[in-house]
Amino acid sequence: MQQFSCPACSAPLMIENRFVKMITCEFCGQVSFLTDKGLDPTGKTAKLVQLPSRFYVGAIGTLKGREFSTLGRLRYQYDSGYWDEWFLTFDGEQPGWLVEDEGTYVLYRKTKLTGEITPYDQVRVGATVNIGGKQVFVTEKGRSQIAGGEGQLAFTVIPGEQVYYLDGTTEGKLISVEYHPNEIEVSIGSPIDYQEIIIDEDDF
Amino acid sequence: MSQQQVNELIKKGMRAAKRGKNETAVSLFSQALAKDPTNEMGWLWLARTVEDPAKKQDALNYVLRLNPDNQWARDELQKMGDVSSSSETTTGASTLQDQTSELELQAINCPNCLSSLPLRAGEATLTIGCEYCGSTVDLTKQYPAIVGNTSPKIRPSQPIELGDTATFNGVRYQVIGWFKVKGFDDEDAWFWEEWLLASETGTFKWLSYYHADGFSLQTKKPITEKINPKQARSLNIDGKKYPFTERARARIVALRGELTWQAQVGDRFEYAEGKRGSHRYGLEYGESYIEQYTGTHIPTLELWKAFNKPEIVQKLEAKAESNRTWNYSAAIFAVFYVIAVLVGNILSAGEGDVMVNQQVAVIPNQPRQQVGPFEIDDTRRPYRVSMQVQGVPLNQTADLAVQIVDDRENVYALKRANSSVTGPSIGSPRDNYYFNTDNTGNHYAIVTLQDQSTQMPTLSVNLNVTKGGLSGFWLGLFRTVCVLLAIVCLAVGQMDRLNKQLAS
Repeated sequence: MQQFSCPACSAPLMIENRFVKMITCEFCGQVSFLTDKGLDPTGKTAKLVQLPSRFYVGAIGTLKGREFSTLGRLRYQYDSGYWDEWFLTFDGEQPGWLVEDEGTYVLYRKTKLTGEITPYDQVRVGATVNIGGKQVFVTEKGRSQIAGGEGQLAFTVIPGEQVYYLDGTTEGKLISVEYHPNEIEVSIGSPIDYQEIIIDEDDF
Repeated sequence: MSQQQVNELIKKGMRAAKRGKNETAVSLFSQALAKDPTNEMGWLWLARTVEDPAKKQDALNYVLRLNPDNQWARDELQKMGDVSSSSETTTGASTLQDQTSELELQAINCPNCLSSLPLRAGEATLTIGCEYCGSTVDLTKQYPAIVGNTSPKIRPSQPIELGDTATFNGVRYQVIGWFKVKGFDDEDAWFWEEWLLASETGTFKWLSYYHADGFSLQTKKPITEKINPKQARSLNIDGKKYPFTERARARIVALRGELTWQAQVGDRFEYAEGKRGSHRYGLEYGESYIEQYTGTHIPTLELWKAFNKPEIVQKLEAKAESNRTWNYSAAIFAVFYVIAVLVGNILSAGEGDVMVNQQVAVIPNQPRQQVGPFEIDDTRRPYRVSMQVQGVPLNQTADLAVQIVDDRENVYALKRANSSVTGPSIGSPRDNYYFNTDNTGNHYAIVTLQDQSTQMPTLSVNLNVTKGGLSGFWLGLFRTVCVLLAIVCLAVGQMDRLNKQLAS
């Protein structure tokens, strides 16, 4: 665990995972990027309204029997509504993003794109596209916007940034692709049943 | 207590604060600070969670003593100075708590009629249909904008109101929205309704109602394999194939309350769906999405129990009970009726003495043959004539008539007098006829070949006359009693049903 001070209000900030690249100050809302030289302030994020959810930043528990802790949350806004992505870390495993959309859960893990990918403009729902050599059946495409975030996140995002995305499936797995201006991110996911997530209820 | 234990206490306190348990959080931060009074994070969180303004001020001062650069603590103290006359505090954690409880309290005013519209799903709600004026309000714009209208005449067909709660599988849901859909294809149109249910933990379910199928509860499920929604014949769920039974287009015709996407009356989509047993499943698709839903059929009684609507449950249970009574009484009626008809026939004619059993030859030029005499000594009893024909050629039909005559040339009609036998017949099934006579004494059975023009060879006809087991009087009495009992059962069942329906 590394301790920093918020560049804006000087409140202490604890970075709990080596994958963390961005942190939101819980006190003043300042978003800072973690660089080699320390924290780089970028701006403030809109305070997220707490939508009903079992998760919250700081929540710990087990997911399919593996212990996790919730470091952060990112909220996306799209034509059909909102979805939240919870940044989860697991002991000795790659961290993951648990996508919560209307009470359904999918755990995504980032993967390296090792081949060509169909450009977003050529993607059509119901068609099969090439993503790094895999034939992915597209179930949804659209444009989303990062509505805000909280806690600690594994990449640098700027609230308001627009992201083109596609969701698809291949070989029984779910695929999510985000087309950022300077990067294309591919994640592979598995659906998680409600019962497979246990949030530890502290004996308050 | 080690530094690690202090940090654990603070983290636990933060979790408590984020769940709105401020008193617990304050207690945990206080325990940590008692062991490590130099922990700035502990003082900061204590300042966020403690309700008492004086204690909050103390905590903020401790923060500044430890870290004079802490701008947030300075700002908070400044704010407290501005509102020092008020006991009101706006700590971050209490804001979270407020937000949690505000989910039911948030509201907007309808831009058309200014009615207050609750936002039970908070920011997840993107469309809201005004319950009062029917306006459809889009909440994704900077200001709520009217994008459509639902006729106030279109109401949910079932008594499920916005704000109602229901418990399914131990999870409590609240009804936050409703919409009605018109499904159509090239030949037909139909309607169904859906209610959006939201749980306290952010789970959404769709309660669907179609009059021919009742209620089903469905949830969205990620699609994990390639499927062409326009052509797929089945859905693969957990390795099993579930066939689609319907594919059509649909249009939203009415909406009320909150919906979690931008919706308005007139929106169109396509769907394919099916059912197997209690399973319900389907795909909904448009230009930019394919969604899969799965769920189960909910029996009506279970649904209203889940909604805790005792008056409807009571009515349905009474109706089910009266239907059961009615079914029992109808079954008893049927049993008595069958006894009256079948058993009556068996008893009346099946078990008596054989009066005569004789074989005669019938040919076209000797078409009329007489069997008997046989003596009848009891005119109250029914008698049975049983006839079997042999020798009808291939694809030819022999029409034979049977009559009973007595010594005085009285002819007794038989309840069924003709028999038509198609060859090849080496022994047709026995035909049975029943008769009663007015006189005792000798009687004869006359068998006649009706159509004498056909080239019919000699037919061998066996006639057998037996005395009935019951007399006509007792048979009539038996049947009357059976039918009366049947009617009484039916009447009792019906009365009971009416009483229960009136009582409920």
